[in-house]
Amino acid sequence: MSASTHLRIAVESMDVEARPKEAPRALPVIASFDDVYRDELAFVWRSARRLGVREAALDDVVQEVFVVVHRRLETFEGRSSLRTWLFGITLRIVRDHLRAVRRRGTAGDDEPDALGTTDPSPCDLAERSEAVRILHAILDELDDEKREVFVMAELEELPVPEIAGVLAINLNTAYARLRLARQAFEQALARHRARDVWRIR
Amino acid sequence: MSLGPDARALLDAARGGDDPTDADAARLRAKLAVCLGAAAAAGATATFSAKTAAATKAVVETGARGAAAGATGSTAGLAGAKVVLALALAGAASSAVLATSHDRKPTANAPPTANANANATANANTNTNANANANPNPNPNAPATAPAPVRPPSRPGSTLADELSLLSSARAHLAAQDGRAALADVDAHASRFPRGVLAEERDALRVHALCRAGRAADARAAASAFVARRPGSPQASAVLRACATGDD
Repeated sequence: MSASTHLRIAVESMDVEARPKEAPRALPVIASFDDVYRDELAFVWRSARRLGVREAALDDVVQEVFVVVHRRLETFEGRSSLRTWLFGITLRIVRDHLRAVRRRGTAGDDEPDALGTTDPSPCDLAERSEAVRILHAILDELDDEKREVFVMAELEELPVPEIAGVLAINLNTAYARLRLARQAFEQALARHRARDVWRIR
Repeated sequence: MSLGPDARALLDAARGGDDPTDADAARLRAKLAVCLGAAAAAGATATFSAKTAAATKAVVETGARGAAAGATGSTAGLAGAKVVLALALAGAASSAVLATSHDRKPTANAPPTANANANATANANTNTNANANANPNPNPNAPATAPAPVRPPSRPGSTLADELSLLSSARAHLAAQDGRAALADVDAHASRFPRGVLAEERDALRVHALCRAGRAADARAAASAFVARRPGSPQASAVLRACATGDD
């Protein structure tokens, strides 16, 4: 928690205590940065990965997300769930990242970062379930719009109205996009099964 | 339409598979701690003073500007995060920030916290392209180097804070032109945390410390070893230039 957050909570608490009892005010619940980091690292991490960030770049992207979270946490007003808010930040940073990667003309796996130590070790790869690899392969086949809505709705199970808010699209568009994303996912899955690579059952 | 049973089965099987490992979480937390000031990410909130908060804020805001530049310019979109890290590791300001967050006294030569904000701001205005010390990929496989001065054993659960404390101390010594003392901290880190989360930062610091200590030949050998071991490190070029830029 930043010092200023501490300060703000302290000041607001004092305000409430000084205020006459007949006019109570609901305090906004301001989570501390430490709490958000501890509770939501996994959410941000896997969301960034599923939105298309390669292993080698995940550290940088997730770090950037939390730098922004640290800076903006006090402005979170609770109009959406914390996760939706976090996803919005993650989404913007991932989009910037993917744009930069594509501008450099690589898919991300071949960029210099891939030489770094965040590559999965052979042990990691052996432990990683085939289902995860198939999931990534299928998500890679979706275009960005479908991928984003699919990850939010089907993997993180965020409410569609909140998804529409994150994406700044209207509710009907969000539902339509989700429908198309599901279709595309099913079709990609069928192709994988046809190639007999789906052996998770 | 909703998803069919096969797709559901795949999602269920894969749902938890992308979560970070404990090692991922520890590595990220270390980077964030360096980035934001140790108190913000390492859980030590009690000692986060207003002055250090201001200094940290300057560093963080620099990162935001760097990120904006990265998103619109020719550099990678993640430049911002790396700039923050570079500033945090390179700046005397951040040494003060980190030093205030730990119970180990860094050094007598650590710059006073009162200067931290000004230093951070100066860095923010001049070093937005800095990547000399940016380090997204600490290498856990760094070999141990010995011998090292005796240090008290780390307390359980304080490993990361101790790592940060040692390297912050080394930074402060470097800023104070005391290469030998910096080298002692680096050696202590290598001895206690041979595979530490911040091993890559440690090994880069060693090169700079050797330069500063007047051991140019050793510095060049260490720089070559660093680059050979970590060819993709963003610190590689700075390490290779360390002694050529007047550090020795």
